This record gives sequence, C-alpha cells and structure tokens, in this order.
Amino acid sequence: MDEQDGTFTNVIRRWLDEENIALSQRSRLQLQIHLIESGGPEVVPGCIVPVNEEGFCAMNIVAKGQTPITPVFCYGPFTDSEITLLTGAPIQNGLLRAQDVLPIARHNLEILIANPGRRRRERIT
Amino acid sequence: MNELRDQLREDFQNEDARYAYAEGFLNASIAAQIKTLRGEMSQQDLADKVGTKQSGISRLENVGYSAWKVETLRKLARAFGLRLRISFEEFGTLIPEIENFRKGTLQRRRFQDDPVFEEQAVKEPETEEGAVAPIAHSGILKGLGLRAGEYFPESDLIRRAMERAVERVQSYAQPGIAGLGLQGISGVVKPDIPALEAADEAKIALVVNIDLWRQGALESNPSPKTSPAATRPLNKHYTPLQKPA
Repeated sequence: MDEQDGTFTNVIRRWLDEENIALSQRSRLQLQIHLIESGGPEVVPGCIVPVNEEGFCAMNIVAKGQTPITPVFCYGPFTDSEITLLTGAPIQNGLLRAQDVLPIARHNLEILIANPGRRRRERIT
Repeated sequence: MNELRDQLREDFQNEDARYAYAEGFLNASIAAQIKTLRGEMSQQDLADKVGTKQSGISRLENVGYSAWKVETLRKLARAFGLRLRISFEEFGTLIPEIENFRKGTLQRRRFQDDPVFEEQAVKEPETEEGAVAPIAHSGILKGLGLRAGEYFPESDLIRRAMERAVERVQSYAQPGIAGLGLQGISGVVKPDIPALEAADEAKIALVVNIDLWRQGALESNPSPKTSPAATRPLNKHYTPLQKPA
C-alpha cells in the first residue's frame, strides 16, 4: 500500500520520478512487493532492513550498475497482514540514509492514520 | 490474480522491465529457497558442508545477490539431499510462480524422505560408535516412532524396539500358552530384556516383527515375516502366535 499526499499523488511513484529511477529498477521493486504480498516478508531474505526501534523498515533494491532504491515502510498500520510504503530514502556514498527521511515517514504515517482513505494499493511501475 | 496478469502483461512489453523482473525473481527464488531448506541448520554448518565460508552462505541468502555459480548451487543441492534443476522458461509461467511464492512451496523433501524411494532408502550402517544406520521399513519406522534417515544412538533404538515389543506381547496375550520366540532378531537382544521378561511373565509366545537387526543396524525387509534362517528361538517351547481375532 502506498501513502498518497494531499494532491492524491502516489508518494512512492513521485519519489521514483524525482530520483529518475529506471523502469527496470521499478520493476525489481514491484517484484519484491509482489513476493511479499504472496509469501510475507520472510520470503525476501536480505531485502528488508530495520531502520529504527519504532518499527520503520526499508526495502533495499539493488542491481549491478543501477541506482539502489530504498522505500521506507511500516508494518500495518491497520492490520497485521499489510505493509505501507511511506516514503523513499536516498543512498549516498553507498550508505542508506533512511534515518534522514524518518521525519517524513512519521509525518506521512500520522496523516494516514488520521485519513485511512488516503492509502491506495497501486502499482509503482 | 488477474490483476497481476494484467499488470505484468503491460509492464513486460518493455524488454528491460521484463528481464529485470524475471532475473530478480530468479535471484529471490534461489535466496529464499536456500534459506528455507537450511531450516534450523546454521549458515556455518551449511558452509562447512559445501566447503565455503559462512559469509558466502549469507550472500547467497540475499535476494539482491546475483553472482551465484552453478557449481555452488550443485554443492548446495547435494548438501540438502536434492537435485538441482536448471531450465529455460516462458515468461507466462512467472505468474503462478509469483502467486505461489511462499515458504511451504519452496520446501522440498530430501532423498531419504522422498516417498518414491522410501523402500530403497537404506544406507550402509554407520561405522561411528553409538550410531545406527537409517532404517527403511515403513512399518518399523512407524512402530518405533522414527523417521527415515534419522540417526539414533543404538541404546535408544533398542529401548524403543523393546518398548514396542512389550506392547506387542501385551496385544498378543492369550492365557495358557507357554513359549517364547523372537523373529528376526540376531546378535543384539539378550534374554534378559524387558520384552522377554514380560513375555515370560505372561506365559505367552513373543513374536516381534522388527525384522533383521544385525550388528546394531536395522535393515530393510519388505516382508513383515522374517526368514527361518533369521529366526533365533530363545526357548525350546518356541511357538509363533497368530494375533487373536
């Protein structure tokens, strides 16, 4: 599930556009989302990285010669069987900067909890 | 999941996108299946089995890793008691594979647990002291509460066999019958075992179908009856019994 902003733009798709992420990398991210939907987070070992104790995590989508993409997500927040992509995190000098975007992730999560209808299950390719 | 089919039908029109997706799936399948098949075994133990480092197994279990070698996968297959299959596939077959991608569908049975080969899955007895060979006769396995391919200390196996024998004596008990016999046991069981004592006390014959047991190892025997040559009467009143109707 992807959080949407006030203009109903998918925040994950917007982030991918801003980062100029190639379709092949989006395709890899979409694959991981499909696999998690089918078998849960345990079927994608090494893909999910915990970010902090609050429960925020990041997906680490890497491919040789491609810009790594790392959407930040949380489990829930409405049911135990869902995850919600909240924002994207940059990678600089090979380091995941998920901590830098945590305020955005928290903010988006608060908005989402107050407005559950702002969330949609949408493709990101 | 028509939604998945519709999305992939559209996305896969782009060649880069479809190969990125398919190759990502291949990497994810390998990583997830190695982790699933490893189960409770540590990465270090698996690494020792295939002659690599723990960090190498850790890399292979990462869905983002794509530099695996067929030779390494071949070694892993052997360590898991499985065969390695490599085949070229159509893109359309991805859809059901994605839909069914979960731990249960990634699990495979080792050769020793493969029901197709159950009767033949007998290994040579272990030479290591205190261990016994895997046993193959499904009846024996069931009777003793064991699984094919598992190893047990010999003393534990004898204890289980004797507990089972006592149960059988009790189930066959008929008043007024004297005699004692053990079928198919040779070399290991002594007359002072609890089963014989129980049989003696009950004044009945003892018929224990634990088949051929030689030098601490149970061997396969497709027939529940043992050959006369394998019978070792322990009592001159030996009288095999038929289970009462």
